[in-house]
Amino acid sequence: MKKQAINFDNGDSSCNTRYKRQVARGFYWRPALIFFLAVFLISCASSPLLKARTDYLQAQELERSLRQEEATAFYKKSREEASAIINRKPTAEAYLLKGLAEVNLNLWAEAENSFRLAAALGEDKALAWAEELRLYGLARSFEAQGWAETSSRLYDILAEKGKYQPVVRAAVGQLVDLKLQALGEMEEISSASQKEKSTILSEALKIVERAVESEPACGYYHYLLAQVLAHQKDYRQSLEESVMAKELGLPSEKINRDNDLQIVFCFEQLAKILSGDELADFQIRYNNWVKKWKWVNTTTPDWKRS
Amino acid sequence: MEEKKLQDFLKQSAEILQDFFPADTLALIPLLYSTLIWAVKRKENLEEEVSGLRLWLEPEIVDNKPDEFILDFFEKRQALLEAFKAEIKSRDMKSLRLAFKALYPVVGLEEPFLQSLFSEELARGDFRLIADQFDWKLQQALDEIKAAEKKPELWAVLKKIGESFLSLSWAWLSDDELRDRLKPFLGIDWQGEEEEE
Repeated sequence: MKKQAINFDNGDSSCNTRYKRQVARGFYWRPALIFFLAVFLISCASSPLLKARTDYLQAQELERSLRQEEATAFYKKSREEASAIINRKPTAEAYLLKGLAEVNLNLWAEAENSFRLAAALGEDKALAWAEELRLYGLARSFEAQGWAETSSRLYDILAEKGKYQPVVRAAVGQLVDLKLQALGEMEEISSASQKEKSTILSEALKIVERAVESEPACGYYHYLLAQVLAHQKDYRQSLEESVMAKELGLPSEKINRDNDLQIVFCFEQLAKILSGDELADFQIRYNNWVKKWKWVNTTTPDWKRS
Repeated sequence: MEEKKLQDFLKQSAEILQDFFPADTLALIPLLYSTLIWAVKRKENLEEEVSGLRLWLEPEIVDNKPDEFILDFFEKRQALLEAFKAEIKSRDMKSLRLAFKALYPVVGLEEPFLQSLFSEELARGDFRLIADQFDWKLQQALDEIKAAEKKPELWAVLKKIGESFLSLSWAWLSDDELRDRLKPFLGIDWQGEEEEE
């Protein structure tokens, strides 16, 4: 068009006429095209599937901004929208979306079912996710029945070989908690039990370190690491990991509060151990974080009653 | 005048919600209380907060803490220190660990739903009873909510209650002030909360 305009300026009369004709034709078809494009885009934007998908993406965005409760609401909304689509006409994409929202709402069994239906309707990757969810659900039910060893084995498989990130994270969390549970159940303080304790802790540490290595920016893994390190009485390292977890973001307000209490606990333990310049330096650094987080004081997080 | 208005509002809200729950419900007041607390805590995102309530009840934190953490939890709260004096003195970690699992989400993490669910026990300072009854009482309340959720309007009604609450000019209240004002009306009066730390 630009090129033709230049020719027109050069005084080429045949080009001039052709150009005018094209402009005249464009005068009629262009608004029509714009009209149809607009109708198409509006229909896309208001299409229920797109709406459900947008809400799902919004939920993920909120989750990344540490606004878990709001994210939950959007996951719920997305799930409801996907369900409504399925009620009208079941599609693989709608089932997949529903399953994804359900995973984020911790509705594991429902998510497995949705992924299976998505797979049956042609969504290939959904089958592998459904299998992992099934394994996770199985492990949870074994754990509920007190079969800690069997459930640990399943969590271990998922933590090591799982491909679906939410399941892998949940499995690592459960596995670490189960390992730590075994510590609590050991009552004797004999040297044999001490040795066993340190073996369990090394195993737990290895699991979490492997997870951190695979996803260094995952706040939840740093939270888990902080928990294990506190069991090893490595309060300095535990505090650092808790701070990192807080800064990277945690998946729920509940975990965030637990992590805050871990920070306070480690701070108090270190304040007892350290002295002199080391204590003064530590307090300055710690106070900077407290200020940044807008806590009431060194031991009172913002959400706590002062 | 203001108190009367608040009382009427709470009464009305409880009556509306009553339709969703059985007569001897455990879940109604905790659900209403936590809705209002969240409503004021994050005024702009009431719907999200209300919908997010359920996630609090999922066991997603690392439950198994070191002995030192558990002892610290009991020792720095005067009311707990007194209630579990014998166990703390004898370092009976088995008993303390069991009690911790119930008391930590209520007293440590300050979850409004649980604080309301165990309000009577908290008011009496009966922490042992909370530990004993935690599992079944929570399960019963959750079962009631699950049953109530079959009527899809439940969350919409809760959202509306929260919105009305904010529109009645109580939105300026701080979290603490709100708790203090609501507790007498909702039958929650826990003195032990003041003794923390």
